[in-house]
Amino acid sequence: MLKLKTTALLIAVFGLTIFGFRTAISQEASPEVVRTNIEGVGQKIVLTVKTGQEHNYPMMAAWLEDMAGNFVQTIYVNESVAKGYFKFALKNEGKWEPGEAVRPAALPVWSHSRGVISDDGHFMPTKENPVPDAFTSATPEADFAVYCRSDDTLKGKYKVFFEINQSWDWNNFWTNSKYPDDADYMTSSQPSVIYTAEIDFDNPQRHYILKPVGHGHYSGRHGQLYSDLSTITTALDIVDEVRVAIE
Amino acid sequence: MWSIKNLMSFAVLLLASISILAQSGRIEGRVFDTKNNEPLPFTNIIIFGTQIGTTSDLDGNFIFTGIAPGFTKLVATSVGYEKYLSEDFLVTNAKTIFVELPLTETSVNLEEVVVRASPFARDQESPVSLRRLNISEIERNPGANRDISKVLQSLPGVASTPAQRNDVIVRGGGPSENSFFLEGVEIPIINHFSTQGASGGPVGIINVDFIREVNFYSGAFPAKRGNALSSVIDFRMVEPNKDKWSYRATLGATDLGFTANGPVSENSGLIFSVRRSYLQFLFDVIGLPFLPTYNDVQFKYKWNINKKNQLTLIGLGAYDVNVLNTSIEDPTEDQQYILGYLPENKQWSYTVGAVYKHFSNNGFHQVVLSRNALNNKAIKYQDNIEVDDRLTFDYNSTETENKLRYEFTGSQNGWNYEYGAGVQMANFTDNTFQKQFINDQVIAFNRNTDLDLWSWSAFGQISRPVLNERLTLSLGARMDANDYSSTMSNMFDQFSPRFSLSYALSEQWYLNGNLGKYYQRPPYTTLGYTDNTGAYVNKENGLKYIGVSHYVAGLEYRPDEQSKITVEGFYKFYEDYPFSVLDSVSIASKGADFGVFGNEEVVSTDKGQAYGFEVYARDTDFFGFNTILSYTFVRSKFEDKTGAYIPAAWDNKHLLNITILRKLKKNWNVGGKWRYVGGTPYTPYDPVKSSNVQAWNVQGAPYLDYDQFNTLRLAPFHQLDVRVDKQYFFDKWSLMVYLDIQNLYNFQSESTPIYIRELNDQGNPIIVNPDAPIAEQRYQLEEIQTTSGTVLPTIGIMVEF
Repeated sequence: MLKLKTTALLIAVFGLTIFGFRTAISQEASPEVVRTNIEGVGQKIVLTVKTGQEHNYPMMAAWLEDMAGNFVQTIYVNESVAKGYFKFALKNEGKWEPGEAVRPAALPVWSHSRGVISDDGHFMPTKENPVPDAFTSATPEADFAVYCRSDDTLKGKYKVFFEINQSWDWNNFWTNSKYPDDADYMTSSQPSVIYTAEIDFDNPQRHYILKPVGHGHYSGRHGQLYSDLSTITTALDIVDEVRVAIE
Repeated sequence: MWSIKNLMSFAVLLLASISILAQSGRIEGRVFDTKNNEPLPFTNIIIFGTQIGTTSDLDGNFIFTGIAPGFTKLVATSVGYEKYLSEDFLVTNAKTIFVELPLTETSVNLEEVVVRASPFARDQESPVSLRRLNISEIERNPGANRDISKVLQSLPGVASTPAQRNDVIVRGGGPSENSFFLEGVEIPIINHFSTQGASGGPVGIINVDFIREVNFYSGAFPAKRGNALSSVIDFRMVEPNKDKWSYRATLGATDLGFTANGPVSENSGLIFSVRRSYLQFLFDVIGLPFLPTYNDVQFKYKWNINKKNQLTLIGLGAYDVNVLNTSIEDPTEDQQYILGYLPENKQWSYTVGAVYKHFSNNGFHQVVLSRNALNNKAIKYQDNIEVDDRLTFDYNSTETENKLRYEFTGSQNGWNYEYGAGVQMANFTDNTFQKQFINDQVIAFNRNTDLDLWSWSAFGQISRPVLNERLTLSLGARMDANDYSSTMSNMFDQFSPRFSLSYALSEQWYLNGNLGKYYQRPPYTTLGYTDNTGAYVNKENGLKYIGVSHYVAGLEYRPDEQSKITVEGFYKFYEDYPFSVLDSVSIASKGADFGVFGNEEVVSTDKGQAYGFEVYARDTDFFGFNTILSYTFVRSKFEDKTGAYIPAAWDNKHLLNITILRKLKKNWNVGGKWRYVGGTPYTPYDPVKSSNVQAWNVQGAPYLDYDQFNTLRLAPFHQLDVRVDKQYFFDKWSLMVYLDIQNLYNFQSESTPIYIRELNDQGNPIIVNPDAPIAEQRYQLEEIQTTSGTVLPTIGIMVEF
């Protein structure tokens, strides 16, 4: 006869099953290395990105500006933005297909700083007018390091910028219903977050930690930097740390 | 000192003065392919009835923020998949709601079909006789007091009783003819103080806090769900919170409850609840003759092991005690009657189950391992004087089942299919002393039953839409058997085929039908019934599975996304129904009383039929009102000892339910439910047999006159229940308050006339012939006309934080 002992046995089996499965599941990821602008003749700039707990296929770009705020060069931009070509861009015969798309809300500060205007009057790269392959890679899924050469040897102080944005990260301020008629906002959720650090090529530190200094426009209408980060929440956790070193 | 009235007034004013403008409700969820659990990225998801939307990410996850608190639902659309409308769920400011959106691939080019996000999802296997209840309908059902079992009684085809019972009486079938599943795990006991062998009881065990949806099948049962003749009820539970723990404290109509819901790890979560009734204090204060206490505990643990594997553990347990309130001075006639026959009762039950799900490319495998048990004890002394020679009934029975079931659900090339098998090991014990008055003498029965039973089953079902999804066909079969006897051990004797079709006459009109034959094992109380020699008399009598054939046809009209009207005709033919040897009546009419059902000698010879039609009209936005109207005409008849069909106890003829709900501004909700239930047949008591002193003494109550079985009929009863809900959503917590009033206009429903013993001045029963030999002595009985019904207001309070 099966009585309480059997119940206890069944509960024990359930428990062991759970813990048995648990111990079998763990995985580690190795940082990915991306090399950009390898034909540059200047210094090697190493940008290291440690992903955060909210990391979820973000779009990102890093670039240099001089101290007067003039765009110098792109250090890195992920491939889909660089080509205006996304894995999930078009609905065709019942399936999502890769294709061209313009997402100005993605990285508005970088795109406006870069200042290249497309035939359609926006600032995003397109398939016809992309960012060169030398500055891109597929979006890394975990921690990564970009080894980039500056185009020319640089002297003095510059600013390194890193802009990151991902869809789907709505919060209590940037809600789904905030701008219901703005299709570009709907692809951005919380706006892009901009990190920066001032670097000195003449007296480089061991490394520089980039600090968040603001966010971009919610639908990418212009490249203004909004310094109030109080409404940005989980978007600040897409990355744990961005640092740059000069070698 | 402030009076309670002043305090309550202050509280109401305080709450009313608080401006609740925040809209910071947050919904998170995941969209995935039903078949293989693969995430569906870039699915468009909107809040139903609004333009507020989002899309899923590459992992199928999505977020909504800034959502107005209250009940809401989501619509998901993804190219190549059927549009999906979620169940209702409650959004609050205090916690994130997690919603899973399973999408089903469509085989048809979307350009060719108009897909609507309708609240009334259609089912290929069960195009008829399937009703879905979502949580807002359960929570706010007037008169139900958040008791799912009572909500079921307002569905079409389901009869309700004026007495405080939750018997599920479906389309003329008794309360023993249903089976219940919770997250795929069969749960035989869903009510406290459950009638052993049947399903009813006064209060439901399942905590509404866990429930997101109830699928109620009154026919067209899926092949994977067996052991039911009249209904299959499938409860689906909410997903545990993934971000943080939340808690809900509830002061309900009859109990206090506490529910906790939160993450255990990154991929797993737990919902846990406990409840305890406070009825015993209330009943004592108002002087009722019985003092019930019930307790229950429930949990769900869900672990998403990885994208392809899931494990769910569930548990449901109850502990109930009912003692008599013998301290009542000068009991009324009703109190005397109840104290005279009602035993004291202790009952515990539990179900624990594990559901392991593994997804493959074309479907998912599911293994369900569960164990359930019931222990039922009752004891009765003549006139409640606890001395040995006055012991008339001492019942101690256990039912234990251990079950293992495998299912595969898949689809390929437009075919949807399911198959699987199950095995079950059960044990039934019955250690009973009972005095019975049979053939003009008192006989003391001692039963000591210890029955082991193995059962096994196999099932399969295949469905496919054809003619460009205009016609959907489904064919299934099931076989069951057990090792009780040779009359039950051959699976082919219980071959149970079923066939459904649904034809879309137009975008709005559907013609649906189902044929099916279903089998149910008689209750353990019948299988394990032994005589004084220990012989299993029902095994010797050739006891068989009970069979029923269902024939259902219906027309469905969907004028728009908010409304649906169906008309269904049904005919059920029962065979091999157990027939009571002692009473010479079908046991089909039993099972709605407290105690035990089926513990008697029977033969599997009776036939029965139930037939009728249902009209169901539902409009979720009828001039702003959520309106449900259902009318059922039902006849239920079983053969008597001469072979003539006579009405069963469930032969209500007419059942009418009208439910109207209205959502008002500022989170107020009001609703009303009016129901009309045709008079049920009843059997009068036999005053001659009942007056016999020895007969009365062993039962404490009068005896039914089975020669007049179900020859009389009670008057119909009708009742209006109303309910008002108010919700307050604060940043960190929510407060939900409701007022529920049952039987608003105090309808007095007729009950079966009873007999009580007349008492002399000393309070002793009068014996009209005290000088006669004991076997001939008779009590002086008095017939009492009884009614039931009272205005029953309830205030419920829920705090969630």
